[in-house]
Amino acid sequence: VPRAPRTGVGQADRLLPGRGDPDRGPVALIEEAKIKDQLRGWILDRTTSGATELEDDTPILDSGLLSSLDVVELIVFIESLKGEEVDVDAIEPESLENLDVLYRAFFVEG
Amino acid sequence: MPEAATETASTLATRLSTASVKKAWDVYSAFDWPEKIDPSEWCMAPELISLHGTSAWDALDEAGRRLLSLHEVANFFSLTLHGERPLVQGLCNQMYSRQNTPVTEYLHHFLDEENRHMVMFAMFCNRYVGKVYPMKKLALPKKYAKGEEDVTFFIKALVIEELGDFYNVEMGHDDRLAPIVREVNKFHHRDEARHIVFGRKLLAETFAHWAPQWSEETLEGVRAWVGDYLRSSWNDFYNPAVYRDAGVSDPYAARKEALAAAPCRAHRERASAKLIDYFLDAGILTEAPSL
Repeated sequence: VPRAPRTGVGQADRLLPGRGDPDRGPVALIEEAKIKDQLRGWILDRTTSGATELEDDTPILDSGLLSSLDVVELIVFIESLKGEEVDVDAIEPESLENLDVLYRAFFVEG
Repeated sequence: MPEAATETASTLATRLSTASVKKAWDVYSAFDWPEKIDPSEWCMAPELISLHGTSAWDALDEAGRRLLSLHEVANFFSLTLHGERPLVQGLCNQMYSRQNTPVTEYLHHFLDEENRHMVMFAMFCNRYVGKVYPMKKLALPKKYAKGEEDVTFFIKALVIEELGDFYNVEMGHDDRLAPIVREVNKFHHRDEARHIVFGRKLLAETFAHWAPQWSEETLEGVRAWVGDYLRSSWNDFYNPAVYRDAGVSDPYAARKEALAAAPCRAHRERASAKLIDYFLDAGILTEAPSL
């Protein structure tokens, strides 16, 4: 079972792949955008906050978009996208900070 | 009015402690664990299996359905075990603080029994499916109004116990099931019957004490959370890892279908009926949540 990394937000910003990374090819960037859009769609569909837009760096938990009970379902959704299980014991709430961090934690390093 | 209706948590605790001493059992010697469960035996009745009534269920052959029943019961035992972990932790916090002596004495029995249950469930799961299924719940920090954390703690305890007891009662006397499955369910039900009586009493008293002190917003927030928590607890019964282990072709699609299927919803409503009636009677809910 893959383990999601234990990272803080500051560390995540430093490690985040994608923008400004000359080694990232166009296919990887398209894949990243596709996955983020699916996550974005799921979160906006699920939230009861009334939000209709979600930027890559919008806080997901701090802004009240999702509750801890929603997070359980988000993790199952992430598993369905990855096609494999996620080790919840290894997840820190910081891994769910925003779309950028989520993508990196579960789809790049996880 | 019958005595039980006017009994306080304190006098109830004394009575339950006596029963716990009388009915004590040793988890390490109580069971005659078979080497393996015969694959031709059911481990959960078909109508209790989470996919029953879906196309994924229809697509399984008889052997596949029996294999699914083994993983389903292991998931049920696993999620009960995981539900009992924070319960044990929370019960420790309740002891020797605000509670009186008879209640604290019963909490020792409660803890002791919950620990035995966790050992028993882990023994079953590790022996017959090679693991305890992990749960997806993630504890996030939350700000509570005064007393809200206690009330939600007792609600969580009751949800895990009452839903579990529905299955325990159904399975404990079902002759179609493997004998070891029936035994584990019976043992759990014997202790849980006391825990539920106690949990109901403590929750009703705690809620009646704190709710009048809450703002309308807090009270409505707690009521909305109860519905969310119940739905979330039910979602745990639909575990894609279980479906994968039983050879279901698309576990995530199967879960999605089951959560939306009318027969599955009817099952959840039937299994939750007693619990929801209690929440309504105690004033914790004002209407039944959709499941």
